[in-house]
Amino acid sequence: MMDEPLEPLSAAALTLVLAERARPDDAGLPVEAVLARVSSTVGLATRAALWTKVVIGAVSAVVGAGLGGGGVYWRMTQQAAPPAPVASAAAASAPDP
Amino acid sequence: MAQTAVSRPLLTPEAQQRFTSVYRAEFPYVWKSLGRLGAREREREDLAHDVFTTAFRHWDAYDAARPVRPWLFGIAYRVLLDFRRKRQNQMEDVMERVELADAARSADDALAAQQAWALAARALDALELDRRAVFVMHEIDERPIPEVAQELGIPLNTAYSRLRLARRDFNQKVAEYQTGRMAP
Repeated sequence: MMDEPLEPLSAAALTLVLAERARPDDAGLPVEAVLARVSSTVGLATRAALWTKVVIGAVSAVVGAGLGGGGVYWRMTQQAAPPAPVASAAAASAPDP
Repeated sequence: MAQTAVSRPLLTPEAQQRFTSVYRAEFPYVWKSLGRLGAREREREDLAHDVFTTAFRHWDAYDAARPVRPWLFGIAYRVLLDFRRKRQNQMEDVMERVELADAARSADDALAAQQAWALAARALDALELDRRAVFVMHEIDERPIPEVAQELGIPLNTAYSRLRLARRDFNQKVAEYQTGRMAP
C-alpha cells in the first residue's frame, strides 16, 4: 500500500492535463510520412513472410537433395529455368528449303 | 544452422491483417505518446516505426482481449528508454523543443489550445522519463494504475510512488511557469 497519499493536481496543472488529453491524435503528424510508413510497414510484414518462405524453400531443397531424392531441388531449378526457345528449336529442326 | 532462421512462426493472414489495421489506426496515438514521453521531433518518426516493428515481432504475445493502446504505450516507453540509453550524451535541452505562442495573440481558441499543449509539454519535460511514463499513461491516457504497472513492467507500489512524484513535479513546474508568465 501507499505510504503517502497522492497529492492531487493543482487547478492550473489539471487544466493543462485536460488540454493535452483533448489534443487530436494526429496533431503535428506529417501525413505524407505516415502514408509512406504505412505502405512500407505492410511491405515489411509481407517481405518478412516472403523471406521466411524463401528460407524454408531453400532448407527443403537442401534437405531433399541431401536425402538422395533431389526432387524438390530439381523442381525448383526447373521452375526457375527460362522457357525453352521453342521457336528457335523448331527452326533448327525444320528441313532446309 | 539455417533452420534457426525459420524458427519464428509466420503470422497467420488474419494476424497480419489485424496488425496492419492496428498500425493504421494507432500510428497517430503512438506518435503523440512518443511526443508526450519527450521524444525529439526529428526522431519521432523513426521511433514510432521502431515501436511497430517491435510490436510486429511480439505480435503473438499480444492478448487481443486487452486494449491495444496500453500495450503499445509500454513498447513505446521501452523503445524510447533504450534509445536514450544508447544516446545518453546526445540529448539536447528538451525545453528548447517547445515553441510557445505569443500570449498577445491568445484570443483565438485554437491558439489558446495550442498554448495549453505547449505548456503541458513544457511541464512534462520537467519529469524524469520513468515518472513521466506513469503520469502520461494515468493522467492523460486515463489508464488505471494497476494496468500502468503491468504494461510498464513495474511493481504496483513503484507505479504509485512514481505517480506521486510526477504529480508533485508537474504541479511545481506549472506553478513556476504561471508565476514567471505573470511577472512583468
